[in-house]
Amino acid sequence: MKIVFIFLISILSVAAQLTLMPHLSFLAATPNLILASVLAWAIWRPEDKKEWFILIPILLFDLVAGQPFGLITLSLCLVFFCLEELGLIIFKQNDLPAVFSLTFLGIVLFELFQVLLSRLFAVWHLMEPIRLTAFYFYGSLPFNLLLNGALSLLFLWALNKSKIFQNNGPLAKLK
Amino acid sequence: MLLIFFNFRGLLSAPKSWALFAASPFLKLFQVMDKGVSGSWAFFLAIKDLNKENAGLKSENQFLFEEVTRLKEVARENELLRQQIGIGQAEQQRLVMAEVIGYNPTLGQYILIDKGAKDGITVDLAVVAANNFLVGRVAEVNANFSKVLLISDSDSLVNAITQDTRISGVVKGNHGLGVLMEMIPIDAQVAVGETVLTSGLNETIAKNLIVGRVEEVIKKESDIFQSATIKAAVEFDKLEQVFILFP
Repeated sequence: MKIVFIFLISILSVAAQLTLMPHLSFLAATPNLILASVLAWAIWRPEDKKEWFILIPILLFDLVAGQPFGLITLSLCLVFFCLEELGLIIFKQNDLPAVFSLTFLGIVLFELFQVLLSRLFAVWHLMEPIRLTAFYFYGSLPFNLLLNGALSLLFLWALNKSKIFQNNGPLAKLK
Repeated sequence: MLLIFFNFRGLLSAPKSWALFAASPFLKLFQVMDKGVSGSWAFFLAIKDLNKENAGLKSENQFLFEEVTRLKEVARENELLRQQIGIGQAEQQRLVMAEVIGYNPTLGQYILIDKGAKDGITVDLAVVAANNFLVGRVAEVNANFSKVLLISDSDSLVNAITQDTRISGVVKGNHGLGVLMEMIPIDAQVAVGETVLTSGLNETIAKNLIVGRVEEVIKKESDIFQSATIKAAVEFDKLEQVFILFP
């Protein structure tokens, strides 16, 4: 049942990302529900967290909309594990500055991993490498930080408030 | 990494179709919701500009009426001349209509359409909206859906020509912010408002598809080429149906 629930939420996020989110674009920055979920899931620290849950929305989104397949999955997985490690090593205190720093770092890392991995994919002739033109990186990044940062903080707040994913929450009771 | 390898070998086509099949009810639901909300919102936003827009449309309508009448005459004349010279009718293009089921402006500029390999779609085919407005080209084909790279993507390159001055250039996207026509010789006189058409030099993109209108000409004396910003004929985020053109 747990997996069905996660799958349903993932499908909903993917559908919303492909239909509703593009209307909230500002310049070249679009709110990214999948990135925001990954950031929130990586920063959130309950006692018993199932890390692999986050793979479901990532893979679904990449299967439906990834071009080429793998770039988003790899970038987001790398971001997730980097944030988890940073949370364990540097930002242990889990207070507001730590959460903000991790969110900021997560978005910047996502953009960086995409640029770096696009070079790797370009070697295999799967895509053109992302060019670091002034607009893409320096112009679009602040808006991405603002939109996706706000979205991931909202998700994190929702995770903390809701009992769905808590150890004694309704999801834990499902088989 | 294994999945990327599988995808490279085309083994992920079935999972991709299943994922889309699972998502499609929600995609449709959100599209209906989106249409309802954005339709009413657009109506309220448009109310204040209605008079101005109406006046503009009236004058454009008069101009287009004159243009249509003239073109009808030209078409009739063309038909007569074809008959006299013995050339057959102009070739009819084969089109396949597809519904837009998603739009992904993150990283690349893509739309998802509900036609795939089962409908005979292949990579690189041109995709147009109504009235032959160029939308982009097919970038990836799966069994029952395809991904279309929009002309507003910076990886999209389309050979184009201006309609009146017949100046060639290359149309490429500007990171989703618009469309640019580049590689225009510095001494060429491009007029603002001129229509830009495809030149037919791309193998799978037919000639004379409408790309948009020249909005601004960017000219630097030190450069050997000038560029122009193009107002695309299509509003990419409002597309509902598109047509795939077969060469």
